[in-house]
Amino acid sequence: MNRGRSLAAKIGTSMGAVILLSLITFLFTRLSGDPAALLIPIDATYEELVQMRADLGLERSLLAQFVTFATNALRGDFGFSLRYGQPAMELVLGRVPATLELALSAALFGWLVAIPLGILAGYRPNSMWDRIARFVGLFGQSMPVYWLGILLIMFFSVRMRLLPASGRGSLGHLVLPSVALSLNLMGSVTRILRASMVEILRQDYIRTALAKGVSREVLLFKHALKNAAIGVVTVIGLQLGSLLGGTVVTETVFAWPGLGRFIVQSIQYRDFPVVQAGVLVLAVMIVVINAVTDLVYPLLDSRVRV
Amino acid sequence: MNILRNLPHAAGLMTVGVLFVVLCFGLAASAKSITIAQGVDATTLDPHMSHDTPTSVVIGNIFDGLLQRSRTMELEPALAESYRQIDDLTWEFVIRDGVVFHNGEVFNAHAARYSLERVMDPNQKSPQASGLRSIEAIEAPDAKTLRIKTNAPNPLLPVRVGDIAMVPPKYAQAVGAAGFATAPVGTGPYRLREWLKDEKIVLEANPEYFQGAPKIDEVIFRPIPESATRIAELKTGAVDVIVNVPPHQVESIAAMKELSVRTAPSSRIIFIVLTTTDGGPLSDKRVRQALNYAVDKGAIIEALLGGYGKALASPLPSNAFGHDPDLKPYRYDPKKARQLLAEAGYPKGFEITFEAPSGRYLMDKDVAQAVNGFLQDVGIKTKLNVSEWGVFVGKLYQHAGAPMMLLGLGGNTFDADAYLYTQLRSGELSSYYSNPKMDELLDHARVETNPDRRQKLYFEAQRLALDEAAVIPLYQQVDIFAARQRVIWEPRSDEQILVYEMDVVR
Amino acid sequence: MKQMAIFERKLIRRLGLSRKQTLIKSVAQIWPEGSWDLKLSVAVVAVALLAAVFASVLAPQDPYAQRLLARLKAPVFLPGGSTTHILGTDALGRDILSRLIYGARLSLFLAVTGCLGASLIGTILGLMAGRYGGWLDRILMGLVNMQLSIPFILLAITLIAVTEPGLGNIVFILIATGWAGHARIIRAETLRLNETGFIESAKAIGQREHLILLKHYLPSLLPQIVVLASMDVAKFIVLESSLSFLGLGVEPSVPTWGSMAADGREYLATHWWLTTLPGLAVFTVCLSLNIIGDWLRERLDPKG
Repeated sequence: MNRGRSLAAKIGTSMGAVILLSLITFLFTRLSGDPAALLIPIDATYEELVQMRADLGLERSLLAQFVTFATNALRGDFGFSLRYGQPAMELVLGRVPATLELALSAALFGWLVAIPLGILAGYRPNSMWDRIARFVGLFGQSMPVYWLGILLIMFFSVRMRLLPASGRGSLGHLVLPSVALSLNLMGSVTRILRASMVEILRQDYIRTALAKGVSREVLLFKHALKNAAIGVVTVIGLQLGSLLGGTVVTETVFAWPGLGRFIVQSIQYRDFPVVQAGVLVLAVMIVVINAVTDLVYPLLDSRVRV
Repeated sequence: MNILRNLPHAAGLMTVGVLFVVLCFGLAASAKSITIAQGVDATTLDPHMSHDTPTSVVIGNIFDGLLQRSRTMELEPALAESYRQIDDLTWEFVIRDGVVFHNGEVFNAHAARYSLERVMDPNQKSPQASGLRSIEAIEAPDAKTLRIKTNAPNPLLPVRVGDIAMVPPKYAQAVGAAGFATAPVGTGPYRLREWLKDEKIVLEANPEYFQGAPKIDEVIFRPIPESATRIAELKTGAVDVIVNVPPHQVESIAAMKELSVRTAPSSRIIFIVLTTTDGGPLSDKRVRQALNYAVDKGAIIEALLGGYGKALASPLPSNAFGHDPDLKPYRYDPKKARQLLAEAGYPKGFEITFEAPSGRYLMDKDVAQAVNGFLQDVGIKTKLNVSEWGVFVGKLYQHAGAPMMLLGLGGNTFDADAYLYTQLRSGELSSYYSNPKMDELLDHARVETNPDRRQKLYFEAQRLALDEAAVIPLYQQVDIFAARQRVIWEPRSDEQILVYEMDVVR
Repeated sequence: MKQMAIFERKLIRRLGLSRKQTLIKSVAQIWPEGSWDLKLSVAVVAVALLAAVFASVLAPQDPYAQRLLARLKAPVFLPGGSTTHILGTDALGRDILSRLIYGARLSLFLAVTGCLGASLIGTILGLMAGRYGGWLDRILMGLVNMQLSIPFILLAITLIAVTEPGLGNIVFILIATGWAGHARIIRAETLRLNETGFIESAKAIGQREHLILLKHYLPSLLPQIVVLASMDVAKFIVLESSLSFLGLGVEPSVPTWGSMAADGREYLATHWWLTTLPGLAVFTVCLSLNIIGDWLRERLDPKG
């Protein structure tokens, strides 16, 4: 009963958030500039500019424009891209597989390194592992992705001829962009995990357990890790969210045909229908990720009693 | 024993094997493929909807116009065998026989008329429509004749009409605009095989091409936005030709023996628009002259463009009709600039905003900063705003931008009209200059059908623009490409990459 | 105000000091206790702060002065370098060392303001959402999800289109993109704290709500806040760099570490130092801040 109601409430607020988001995106795009100016040639006349704006429906009031957009969107019609002349939603959904591919492989690779490193670092603070973890994590975070990316390309593709430099196609194409992207996100997972571990290992109950003679390994894996996982799951959820939408720079450097680059290009061309459809798709994906994260919390949050 | 008995079989098998291998190699050698990396993907393959160079480069390989540009940018017959002017207002094109579209549809005068009318159709919203504005009527009395009537004499009609891509009427009507954009059908040397958006476009040779089968069988266009990545891909051999090589990378590419840098003088010019009509300091001719004296074009070209540029005296490239080669640009003379500023009543300079787009033209941000530095050297307190193109162009057309704006202008018209009219004719969308004398010259040249008289008018307009310092002309760009040595190809001045002109060795 | 004083005294006590001392004095006093990497870190941050404050005195040259014909000069430790430009010159012939020094001022200003803003908003919202739950929680988390779905570049372009370009815009973008992450993590931590015994016992003895928040939640959250904030400095400098990469950053002649790295990337293959030196500056300062952050976290830990 209670669970069902809270789930319904959650879905309700998520829907509300998505609708509000559409409104904000709508407003932002309309404020961000004039697509007509980008669509007419430089030798056009002022009348042609005005005509183009009228054709695009931009001369109408913002409210009227939004009502049209919203009613069409409810029917699943997001309009045609101004730049491509194709259905906007179709174009956006076409980019989703490439984006998911890159985001997931980068995330998995990053976590595969970051989680053990974070545990080690938190288990033995100020040890060598701790220092290495800090160094790697911060290096990945403070060196811009394009710097890492171009360096990876220059070394592994141009010098060693081991991996393709850019584009999509084979599994090999996925390696360099995933590594560049994952280096960037390793830092936060390592740091959060370390901090939680350090804190939990200091809790009274852990100390008591230790004093009672429970082995350190059992404590580490059974209790400490489980508690530290809360912070990590949150970070992971956040990272997946930002990976889906915020990989523009990586996608640009590695010429990856993903959603981030596509949405940014569409913003630059003031391709309103595509931006709206794209942000909506992103929002839905992020809501789903967060729902999953929220479902995982209770599993981890059983209080530890020794 | 066994071995001996089996020998003939073994020999036979080996022969078959060798033959097979030879055959394979033979096939591999005969299938010639080439990969070209541009900055962005094509947005559409509907030739009438193309807005940008990367799109029109791909389209240029799939479609033909009635006329085409030779390597020296002369207008020559393509799908039209010939054309002539019947009277001041009437032009006639003789359509080539026996050309078919990729889908088998026959090309004739009716298809040509349909294609032109498709561009002119207001519902199509084609960005090329403005070029055909002067057309009053199009007739196709028979399959071989296309007659075009204009509302005023238009010396540029062949240029404007000849460039429009010919599309198959039945197919285009059947699939509609959105369908045509992803499944184009033309008459060109290549046809579309596959388009994975933002990933690659694969074209295959059209053996029935009316000018003869192409030498290269397969063309792949890949969008690679980052120039460092484009160069890396060229070095790894994954890509054969790249566009927009930054000048400072030229040396490192030229140093590799399997690569070469190839250049062509572009039709693109870079200049600074000056707002002369708002009563501000730039309304004074002396101030505008001072600005022209203050900027060291030579240093900008040498340092930032690696010498790949040509200083301009007027906003017109040297390969355009009407360009006056005898005109000398303002020399770099900061003292003179200060003196002119003092004469105009600004001995201590003035404050002004200078706006430039970022990432739109080669080295645009650096050029803007360099100009900014030169202006500050003569005491003008400039504030540089670098904005994103979408914001910039909106302000440019709205006349809501800064009094100084860095702008580039190019295209495949190769005629003074396309440059001077848009920039210096009062009332035009991106013109910030107004002078009755200039208007008269440009209006007259627009309808003057005698080439000599037309050229004289443009010479005069350029002298006037120079003396008036109507803009700050900076330079004409040189387009820098790089290719693997195996590619036999020289770039063109119209930014087109016609794979039909290419070949690869081995 | 009174609460702030309580908070500060608590902070000072945690640091193991008598309450009469000010925070700055106390840092000076415990300074020799730390390990070598802590000392080094404090030194690095001190140098960066000095550079930021005294940029105009320390910079050997005018960071804005262009000399096109002296462009792309190598640093002194490479062949072709000279002592006139110790770290070489950039694409427009400007002195890189001077730009790095001035860059410290702007980059640290941007990152620290962004950090403070994001952390303040994120902590307050995350704490409220986690403590009071219900509709408040759902609405706040809905906002967080919304923020995460809006591409920051859309925000950036809209801002550029409707306002004059300036540093304020960049700070705004940093805060607007940064607060949501803080809010989510603080909320998760708060949820965990709700379950711990000492909150319940505080309630049981009838302590006032604002005192519970201030005396129990905030100190327990402080370690997370400090860790997050020290990571954000790096994140924000790099975010500013990404804005420059996309052509939406600060005005190009203004030196920030991020924009210097972004503008120099074109030259990575031929003149690696243009982008690598500012990158290293970001890395060193962030590494140091992180080490200091960890030390502070340990010092502030209620169970320390």
